Amino acid sequence: MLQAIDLTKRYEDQQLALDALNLEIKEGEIFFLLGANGAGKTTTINLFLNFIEPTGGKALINGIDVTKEPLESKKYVSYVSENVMLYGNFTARQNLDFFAKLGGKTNLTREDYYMRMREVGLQEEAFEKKLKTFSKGMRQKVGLTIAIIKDAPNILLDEPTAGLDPKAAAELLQILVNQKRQGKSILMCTHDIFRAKNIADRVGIMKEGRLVMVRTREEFLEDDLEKIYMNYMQEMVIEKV
Amino acid sequence: MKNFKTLLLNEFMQQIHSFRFVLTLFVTFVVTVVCVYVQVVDFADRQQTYQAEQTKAIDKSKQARIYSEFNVPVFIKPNPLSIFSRGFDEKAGNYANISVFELPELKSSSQKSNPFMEILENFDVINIVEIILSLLALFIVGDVISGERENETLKLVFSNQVSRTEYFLAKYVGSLITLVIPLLMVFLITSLFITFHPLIMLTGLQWLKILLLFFSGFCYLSVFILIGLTISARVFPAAKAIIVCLVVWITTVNIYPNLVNYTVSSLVKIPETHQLTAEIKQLNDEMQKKIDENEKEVPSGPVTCSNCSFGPITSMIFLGNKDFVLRAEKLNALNLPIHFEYQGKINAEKKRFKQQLFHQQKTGSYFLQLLPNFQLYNGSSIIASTDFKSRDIVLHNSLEIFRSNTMDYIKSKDGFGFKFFTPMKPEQLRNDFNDYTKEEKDLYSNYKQPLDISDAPQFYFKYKLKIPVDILFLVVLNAIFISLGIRIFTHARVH
Repeated sequence: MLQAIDLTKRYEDQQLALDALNLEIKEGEIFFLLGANGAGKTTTINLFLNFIEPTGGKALINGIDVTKEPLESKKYVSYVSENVMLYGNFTARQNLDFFAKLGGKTNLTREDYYMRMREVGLQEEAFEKKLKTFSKGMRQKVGLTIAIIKDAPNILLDEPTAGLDPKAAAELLQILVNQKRQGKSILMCTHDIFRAKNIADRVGIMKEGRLVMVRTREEFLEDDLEKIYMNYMQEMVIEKV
Repeated sequence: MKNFKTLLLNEFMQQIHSFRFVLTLFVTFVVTVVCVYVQVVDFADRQQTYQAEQTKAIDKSKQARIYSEFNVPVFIKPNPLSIFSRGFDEKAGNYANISVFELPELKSSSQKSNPFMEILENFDVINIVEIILSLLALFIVGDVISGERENETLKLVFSNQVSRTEYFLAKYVGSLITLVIPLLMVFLITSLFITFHPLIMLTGLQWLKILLLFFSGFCYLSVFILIGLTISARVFPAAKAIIVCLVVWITTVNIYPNLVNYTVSSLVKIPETHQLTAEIKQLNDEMQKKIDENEKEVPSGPVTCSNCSFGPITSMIFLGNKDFVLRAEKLNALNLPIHFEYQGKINAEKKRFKQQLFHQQKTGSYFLQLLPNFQLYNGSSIIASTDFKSRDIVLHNSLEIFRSNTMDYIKSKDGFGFKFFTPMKPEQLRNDFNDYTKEEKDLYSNYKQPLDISDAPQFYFKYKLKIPVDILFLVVLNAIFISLGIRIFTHARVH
């Protein structure tokens, strides 16, 4: 379970990146955080991963305050970034092996890695190929495999479908749905409103560091999510102009 | 630190699979083979020259027949560890003449057939570590952290139970193990060259010193790895970090030392050499004036002498009548104290000049003390006994002590008169008097008593073992950079 309680971040230049965010993502739930660039989506993920310190409030992972117990909290979270580059000179399997060990999975065999890679739709011939030869979609799949292998109860994804072709994006989201079915809490930051509509249980829209709207699946399907989102975006553009 | 081993192995595997590492090995191999070959050949040359000159020197000292001719050339044995750290082994000179009047001065006997080769000859094993490997170390580690930050791998790593300290230390140790490979290669190639060269024989202690030199190189590279990692932790993106690393390297290895040299030589002035030469000339003129006055005071009488000279300035009496010998004896008694007095003054001037040079050099070293390359250079030359102090000051003192012992020896033999040091047999000496009158024969046989000089003091010099304090400084510098690097990385952004 992921919780943000009055989570606030103000940078040294006094820019308010996140303004008292209150959020709870339950087990077996996919939460999509939508918003323009600079709305505070990535800041939220960075705060959950303790890459930055909050200036107010707290972020909890499975009830553990990430600021007070950063290492302990990371036991319960996996992360997939927008650009999964990993180690180009290593093969996909070697990359998995390294991150699996960091995630505490030390007894996995070569076959275990192969099995996981098959699950995410990677072709057999790619398993022992160097990652620098991979396309972005293939690298994202390896990134997702790393998150799956860790088998943490919470998954944070920062725009994982950006730059992917529709097929690769759809495959990636299907994997997330499978993870949700296993009871994982999933927080995904994205601009991709169409994917959100497909698989999200709840959607939140962020604007200038504030969570300005949260809708459940039933609500956003009823309210026409695209229209709401576009309205918020337009307001922001008008304000800026 | 539960993920330390995983991180460390990952770093090491990553490094050795990179093109940069292969390039590093290649460059190191080529540079080492070329430089060590030149060094070994040069050492063998010096060793052969030493052996030849040493034999000549022994013969020459045996031929001296009067105190002012007693001129012992002392040759300093070339140090095989100079292949590793040349230091002042050759620069300070490798021979000195021990004479009655003048202080011993170290001079260089070698004549370079090709002066351009000196560039390579001056590039020793420690220079390879100091210049080539330090540059390659920064080249390898400059983007280790910033590169991972740039491609967001760092975020993925820190989404696991990995502490910043653990990560930094793993990167450090991983890079260090990687760079130990080319370092080991340098020392192994050199050791192979030495082992298979017929003219180079190393003692157990010298092999131990080579190990210590390896450790010094290890500490030095470690400092540069830490500098590179600290820059990589702070500077973003990776290309900028590499550029900053290169700027730091150029500043440390070249700009700062040259700047210090220029500043110190501008601020701490030393007299010009021609001033010293002028002062010495003036003293010599004064001395000559007094000697000339003495010549006038002692009447010459009916002196007959062919092919003869005498006194403290010149040396021998070959042929001369009784009056000539008696006059020479009187002049010798008068001139000898004058000679010692003025040579003392000249020697004091030379010493004063040298001390000023030392002062300038010492002032410069204060400003360079913090540089790791200066510490490596100093420390390794102390280990190899080629440091300035061993090669110049201590050696010089030993030569002066030897000279003083030689003077005492001459005195003990009553040699500051007309006694000869010749080891020729009395029968041979007597043959020289065939054309002399009986009176002259008696006189000369009195002066020409052959003296046994087989018990004359012999020059013996052994380098004293010293603690290479500079290497301890390097160890301290490592500790400082480890804590600084961790501190900077703890507060650095990972995203």
